[in-house]
Amino acid sequence: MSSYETASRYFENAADVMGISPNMRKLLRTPQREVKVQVALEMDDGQVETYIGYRIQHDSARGPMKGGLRFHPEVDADEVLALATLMTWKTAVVNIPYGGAKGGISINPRELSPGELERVTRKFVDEIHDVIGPDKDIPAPDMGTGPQEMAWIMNQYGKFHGYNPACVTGKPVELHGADGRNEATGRGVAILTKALLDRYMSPLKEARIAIQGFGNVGSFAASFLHEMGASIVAVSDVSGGIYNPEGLDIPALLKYQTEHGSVEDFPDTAQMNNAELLAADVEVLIPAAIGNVLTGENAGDVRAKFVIEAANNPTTPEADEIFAKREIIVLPDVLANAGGVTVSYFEWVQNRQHFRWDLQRVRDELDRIMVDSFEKVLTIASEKHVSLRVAAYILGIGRVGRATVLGGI
Amino acid sequence: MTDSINELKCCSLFNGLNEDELVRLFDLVESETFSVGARILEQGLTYRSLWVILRGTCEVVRLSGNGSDQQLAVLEPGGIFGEMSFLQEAPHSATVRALSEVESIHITPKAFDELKRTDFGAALKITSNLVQLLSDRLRRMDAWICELVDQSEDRRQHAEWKEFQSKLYADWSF
Repeated sequence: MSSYETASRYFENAADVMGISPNMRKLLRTPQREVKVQVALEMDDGQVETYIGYRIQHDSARGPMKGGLRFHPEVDADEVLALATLMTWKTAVVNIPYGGAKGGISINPRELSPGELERVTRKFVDEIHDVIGPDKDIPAPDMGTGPQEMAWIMNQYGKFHGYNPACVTGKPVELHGADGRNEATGRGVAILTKALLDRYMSPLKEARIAIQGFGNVGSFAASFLHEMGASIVAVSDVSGGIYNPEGLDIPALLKYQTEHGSVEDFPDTAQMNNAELLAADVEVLIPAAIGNVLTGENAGDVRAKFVIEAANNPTTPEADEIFAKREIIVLPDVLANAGGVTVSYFEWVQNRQHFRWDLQRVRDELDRIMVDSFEKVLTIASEKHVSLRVAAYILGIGRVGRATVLGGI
Repeated sequence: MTDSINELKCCSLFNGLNEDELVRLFDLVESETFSVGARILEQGLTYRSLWVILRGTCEVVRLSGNGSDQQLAVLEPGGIFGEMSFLQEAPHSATVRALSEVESIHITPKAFDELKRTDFGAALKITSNLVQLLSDRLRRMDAWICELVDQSEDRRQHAEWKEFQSKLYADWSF
């Protein structure tokens, strides 16, 4: 099943509950614009490489479109469309005034020199600068991109349209970035993990947690959850997984990861492969890496009571059905990982107002938005007797739908 | 009279009629001149005759329920009107008003019966031309109805839109 089919399935489930007609579903599902461009690059050794870049703008009924820019060898139009669609519902769920978009280049950034990476980023901006901008579509970091790429994008965009830092978010703090943007997704995940466990009378301090992925999202989520008193017993990154049933020393692990480049061989831990981590004896499982990791094949092995989707689309519809039958609570991606885009919104607001917020204000506003949105989703779930995912989609689709009918077509 | 005969030749109703036939026809028709604004035919009344405009222009107007007139067509020289009541006794479906000074001829069913007796060939040609004019009008009517059906299709879409809107507000607003 393609990524877009998966994303569509969740949309259709909610649309069924809402009784939306086929024509209106088609209207909401169909992307507004799909851009596919050639990104040609002269490599350091003089060879010319040609890559394909995408920017897919799904919906702008609620505002300028917003979504990450992914540098990954597996980027294709189908995946980008699925993620763009997800962004539309996500920005609506947390009620920030954006639509949804996503982009990427099918490229492996690890194989590029810093110079090549800069040239490929600038070249991509050359190709798409007309369709992005502070009031059109605002890119942000995603897999394979970070503050440095965003800085290049801002600079290159400025060459065509003049200085305007609000054209992209996730910029370095030294260059109009927002304090707290880096930690935002992980912080949101942690805040909502606590809120969810509180709701189900399951104390966070007694919870054991496994986190798949120890990158920007997983590491910050681990860090905040650790601060809150939870016990992170297993984490993994591309090199492999580590496990300690007594709980990992997260600050020490973060230091170790910075020094060694991975979590592998962290002292006082046992090795744990990916399949073992997903089936670990824990209360909370947080997939925080790539999509489609929880499938019809392994969903039956999951022992956690709660799955927090810190990654996008980590659960296939088959796995979702199995979790529902087994009464495993899934906090869906459109809500769980919305902290990132929410602080991107704060960054955009600060750029447009030329007024910098301090970290405390960013955190307070983020926490408020995340908790308010979570409460709303919970209310819908209990009123309509649906899962948290369907409830979140109902909230998102309702908001996008109302904006669509108010604005007209 | 020669002028009028020449004008009859230009009228599609008399296509195919030769000089002699036109002269015979002209003996049977009545000529009439109207000043600007004159109502030549009145919607709802029955005056059986087939009219042909020789000079000037007329408008065909339908009176709507709310009193405002709706112009259906503007007729130029050669244009005909009254043909429906001429063929079948019924009240006129619209009013015909002179937009300029109008010179016209009209032929009554009685006079046309006379033509059938005296020159069946000419009467047949006129009948055939009239059938062509009516079928042309029917074709345009069909196209118009198709357009109306499409429009009501649009209205159904609009209904879907409204239904979507009220559903989102009534059931799915939190």
